[in-house]
Order: sequence, then structure tokens, then C-alpha cells
Amino acid sequence: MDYKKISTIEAIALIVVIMVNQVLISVAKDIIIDTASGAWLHTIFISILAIFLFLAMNKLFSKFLNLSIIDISNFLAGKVLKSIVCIALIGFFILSATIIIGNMCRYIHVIYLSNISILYLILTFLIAAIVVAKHDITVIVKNNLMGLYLLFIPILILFGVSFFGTNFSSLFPIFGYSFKDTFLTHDTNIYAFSGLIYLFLINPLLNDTTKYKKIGLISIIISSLYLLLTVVSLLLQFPFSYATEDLFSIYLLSRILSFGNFLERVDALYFFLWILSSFAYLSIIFFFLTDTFKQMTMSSSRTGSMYAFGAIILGFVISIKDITDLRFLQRNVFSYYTIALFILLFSILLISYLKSKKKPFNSN
Amino acid sequence: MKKIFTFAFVALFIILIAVSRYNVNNQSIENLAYVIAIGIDKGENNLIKLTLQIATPSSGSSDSEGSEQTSGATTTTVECSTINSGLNIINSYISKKLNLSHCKIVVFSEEFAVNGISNEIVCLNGNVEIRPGCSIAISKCAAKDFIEITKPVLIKQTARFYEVVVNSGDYTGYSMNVDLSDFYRALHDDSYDSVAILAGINTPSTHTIPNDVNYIDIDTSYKEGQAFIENKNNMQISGLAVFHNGYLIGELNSMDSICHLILQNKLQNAIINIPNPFDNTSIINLSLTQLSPPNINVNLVNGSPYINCKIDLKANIESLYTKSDYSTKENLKIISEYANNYLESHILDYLYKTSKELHSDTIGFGKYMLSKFSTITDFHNQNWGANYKNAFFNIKVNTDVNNGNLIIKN
Repeated sequence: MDYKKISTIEAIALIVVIMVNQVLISVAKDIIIDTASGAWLHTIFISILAIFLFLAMNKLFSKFLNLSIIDISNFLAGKVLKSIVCIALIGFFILSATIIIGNMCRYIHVIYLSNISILYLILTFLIAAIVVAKHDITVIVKNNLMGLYLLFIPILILFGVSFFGTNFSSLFPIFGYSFKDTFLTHDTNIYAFSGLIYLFLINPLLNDTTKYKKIGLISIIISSLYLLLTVVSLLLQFPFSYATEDLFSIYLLSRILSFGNFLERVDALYFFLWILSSFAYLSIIFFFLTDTFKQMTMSSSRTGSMYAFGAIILGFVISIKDITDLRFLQRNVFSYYTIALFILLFSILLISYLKSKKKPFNSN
Repeated sequence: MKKIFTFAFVALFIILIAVSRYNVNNQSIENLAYVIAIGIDKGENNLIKLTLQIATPSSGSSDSEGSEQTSGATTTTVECSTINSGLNIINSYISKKLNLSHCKIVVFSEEFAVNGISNEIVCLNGNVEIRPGCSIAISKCAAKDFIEITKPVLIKQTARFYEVVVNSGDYTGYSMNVDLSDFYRALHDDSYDSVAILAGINTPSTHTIPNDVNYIDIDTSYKEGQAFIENKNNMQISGLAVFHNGYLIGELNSMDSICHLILQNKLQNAIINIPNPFDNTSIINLSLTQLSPPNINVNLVNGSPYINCKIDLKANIESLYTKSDYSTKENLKIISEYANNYLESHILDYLYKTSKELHSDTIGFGKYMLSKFSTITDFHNQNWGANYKNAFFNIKVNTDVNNGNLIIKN
């Protein structure tokens, strides 16, 4: 497949924006609900786990430079497996888009625009994402990179203020509810690193595929730090029992921010930046969604399917009645779906690697 | 180009439909009534009596004197079952839509707070319009009276007046600003209890000298409304209201408030009186500031909390009398020892009051216990909230005394 190529930093930004948005849809809060004061230790643990998984992926991908998991599945078992992988990936992208649109539109609806029907908000998100996703990947990643640059300093300020002058005793008892809860029971929270799925697909897009390891490691480390800082900030600012009660934890964090009497209520600025980052995330999802469909159907263009997927996602988002359904979808469906998909893709990669050892792979 | 126009058309179409369905007038600034203060009392015919102080349009620029109502604001009271239903009733009565985004203070009457304010705090905290920085105060009198009688004199804008007055503890130490987020957090945390601003109306009828108080301590022993002040502004903020599980259980006076601020590392400035070691008929004024965060260590000894606090303060001598000599190190050392003893004694009084009398860990010593347990279950098993009444304390104060006057010897 021919793509316009993306640079190393753009590829890193592409993976990082996924974590930024996972945190927006309350992954950090979920971790705190599961493990209480042990959340920061749990975050470090799942981050290390994610790094190890990526290193294993990198080792297996060393035989398949320039190829995505879709090409590899074709190599392993032909079109049937390729179609299965594509359908599983399309399901993942639709689910990701549904959750991010559902959450952001509900947040905006509750906080700012309660008088406007949520349908208009959903349509605005979808249309904006489709408009961006119609362009090629270079435009999408540049848009994403710009959003991340804008978000970088305000987020650092937010963490700095949360840490300043606070008592770190809120990070204890160190194991939270129990040692088992911190290290065993809730390891499914690794779905926070759903960016790993995109690392199965990113190879053909890279300018320099030898930088794959560097891109993966840096993006996972930045994502881990972002998640860790968010979890620690929330623990320092709010008691962990608080996390079960709020709608949008990181927004509550931004509400406590003010710079004397001359700059108050900066939460609106943060909200605006988060909307930009969720637009960038959505356009990335749309790109991969339509590209996967294009590869599955061998069609010449990916833009044709865009409106159809837009309509499907609109249907899914509308069918979600309230935030409880959305939480269920995220906690009980998306998390397990992501893990199952990772296991499927990783197994295909592993078997292909073993197969290629016996019979070297010829990309031609 | 054609595609861009198509998308622009679709986007414009959706925006127009959205705007046409949205009543813009409801949210425009001239159609909103901004609530500055909320008062909550026990209702006579219903559960609560809700009083709202609403900014009048001229509040920003009016030079006229406050007449019947507080300058730049008007008050409305309604009896209702919940805050939200009360707001709805008032919305149906006044000509504008109420907006709480500029609410600076929520005042609960003492009578109401003793029966618990958790529900009201949860309700207010869940309201998107109310900011987490909105102050929480407990009034000795009815909240309605407090809001109606309060008359800002030096500041024209009522909202600004509340903003400044709740932060007066920064330069007096006599109280502390407690906001909605602080209070809500304490409600949900097992390791400490909440406090609120103690406020009231100061009139000749409320002036009192507390019983059994040494003449040195009179100035710092007042609670709200007790100090002998004559001024047009009847509102006084002094002391703190103490809560346990959302119920008002006691009050702290101005000196207790200073001790509270010291232990919370929040003391910015406070003036206290200590006996003059060189002349037992006079008093020395010390201006206290926090030198470093207190070093707090909490242990369980035979099942009871043993709390060690090492406090470093800086004090400037503000008073000068005939035959005063603050030029020698020996004299400053003697004053420092007096100050240390005086503060240790008052901090111990304050701590034993919270422990033995109020059973409320207002400082949050429980937080220092958290690191001594590996799991939350272990921490809960030792039941910090109930065990705090068995606590005993060891306080060590070190005051670095300097001369704060231009003249160091008289």
C-alpha cells in the first residue's frame, strides 16, 4: 500500500494523543476507583507491562519491516485471516470513536451547552473529524502535532499546580485496597495503552522504519508519564472515594486552577484544548478505520466509506442513552475488546515470525 | 473546491438548526440574575429557608449609599424542600434567570448546621455553575439576617466585599477561608474533618468578653460578633466552625484559629500578645509568620495516637515601651522562650479541645498515619476517626524573635 510518509515525531504524537484522550474518557479515574491510593503504583506496573509488550512486538516486527499486521495476516493465512483481522480492527475503531464522541459530547452538554440537543454536538464532532480524515495521513498528523504542542504547557501547569504545596500522604497506603488489587486483579487497565494497537498498523506509514522501536518506546514512555501524572494529581487533590462520584475528573482538576484574581476560570481554556485533541484523535481513528476497510475490500479510495462509517458511529452514539451506558461500554466492553484484539494481533505476529524463520518472507 | 463548499454548507446548516433550537436570550448577560451569596436556614413551613443575595445591575458603578438592602444587591428568600427547588421557585418569581457562577459565599445558620449540611454541600458541589472556590461560612445568627444586615462600607461591590472579607485570615490569622471544594473533600476523606468560616453579626448586643480569660488573651479569645467594635459594617468573621461527618459540633475562637493555621502551614500573618518578661504590667505584641512547614509525626502507642509536632515560627516584636531593650541577643532569647511557652500552651489547648472535647481531627493527623499502613483496610480497621479522642500530644515551638520596630531601644 502506498502512503505519504510521516516523520518520527509525528508518529510519536499520533500514539501520545491516544493516551491524552484515554485520560479524558476517565481511564485515570477508573484506575483510582479500582486501586485507590495504590493507583500510582498500579500505573507504573501497567506501564512497565506495556513497555515489555511493545519490546516483544518490536522483536517480532523485525522480520516484517514496512508491513502492517493486515499484510502479515495475509502472509500467514491468506484473505480469510486478513478479513478477520480487518473486521476486528474496524470494530475497535468504531468502539473507540463511539466512546470518545459519546463522552466529549456529554461533557459539553452537561457543562456548557445543556440547552442544545446532544445530536447537534455529535454531528459537529463527526463532520469535523470526517473533513480532516478526508485528507491524507500527513495532514492528520500535522493537525494532531499542533494540538499536542498547544496542550503541552497548559497540562504541565495543571500538574505543577496540583503538586505544589500538597501533602503526599494521599499516595498512601501504598497498596491501596490490597496487593492483589494493585498488581493482579485490575491488570485489564492496560487497555489504557490502546495505542499499542495502532503500533501494529503504523509501520507502512513511517518515513524510516528503523525508528519503529524508538517511536514505540518514546510514545509509550510519554503516555505512561502523562497517565502517571494525571493519576497522582487526582490522588493529591481529591480523596479516592471522590473519584467514584464525578463525571469528568480531569476537568474538576482544571476548575481548581486560578492565577490570583486576574486570571480565573481557566477550565474553559483547558476544555477547548481537550476538544481540539479529541478532534485530532477522531480524525486518526477515521483514517485508520477507512484505511483498514480499503485494505480489506481492496477498493481504490478510502473516502467513499467515510460517510457510511460516520453514519454507523452516529447510530452507536445516539443509541447510548446516558453516561451509565457509556461507562459500561468503556469498562466492560472496550477494555476487554482491546485486550482480546491485542492478543489476536500479537498471536498472528508471533506465528508469522516463527513461520518466517522456517520460510523467509518475501514481500514481493 | 466544490467539496469544501459542500462541507461548509452542511456545517452551516447544522449550526443554523442548532442555534434556531437554542434560546440564546436565556443565556445573555442582561437576562441573568447573578447570585452573590446564598443563605440557608431551617425552614418554618418547609425543610429549608433559602435566601439569595442577587447583584443589581448598577452594582459595578453605583456611587449611591446602601439603603434598605445591601449596597448593589437585593435579597430574596423562599421556603423550600431543596436548594434546587428553591432556585426554581425564585426563578418563577423574579424577572431574570438565576445564575450561580458568581456566588462567593454560602452561609449556613448554626441552627441548621448542627443537623448536618452534607446533602446541601453535595448538591452545591454537583452544580456546574458554582465554583469550587465559593466560601462556606457558618453564621451564629440566621443566615437570612446575616446576608441582609451585612453592609459593605469600604468596598462598593458586594461580591468583591465577600471575596476580600473571607480572606481576612491571611493577614489576621483570626479565621481561614474554607471553600466548597475543601469542605467537600473533607466530607469524603476518612483521615480528617472539615472546618468552616465562623461568621456573624457584630452589634452591641452581641459584644461579650469570654469567661475565664486572662487579660493578655482577651483580643484573641473572641469569636464572631463578640469583639467590641462599632462600625457600619456589622459583619464579623472570627474563628472557625468544626464539623464531624458533616455535622456542626463546635467552634474555635481566634487564637484556636491561629493555632489551626500554624499546624496546617497556612499562617501568613497574625498578631498575638505575650506577657512582657521585663515588665509584668505590660504586653508584647508579636507579629507571627510561618518559617517552615511543621514537622508532624504520628505514631500509635498502646493503641492511642501519639502526635509530635515541631513548629518553627518567625516573630517580629511590634510593640515598644519605655525601658524596652530589644538590642541584645539575651533579651531576644528571653522573649523567644516566653513566646515558645505561650504558643506551646495554646496549641496544646487547641489540640486537646479538638481531640477530647470535639473528637474531630481538623488538622488531618490521620493523613500522617496513612503511610504506616500497607492497605486501606488496615487503616480503616484501626478506626482513626473514633481513636482520635485518645490522642496525646507533644508540641515543640521554636520562635525566631526579631525586632520589628525602627527603634530597638528606648
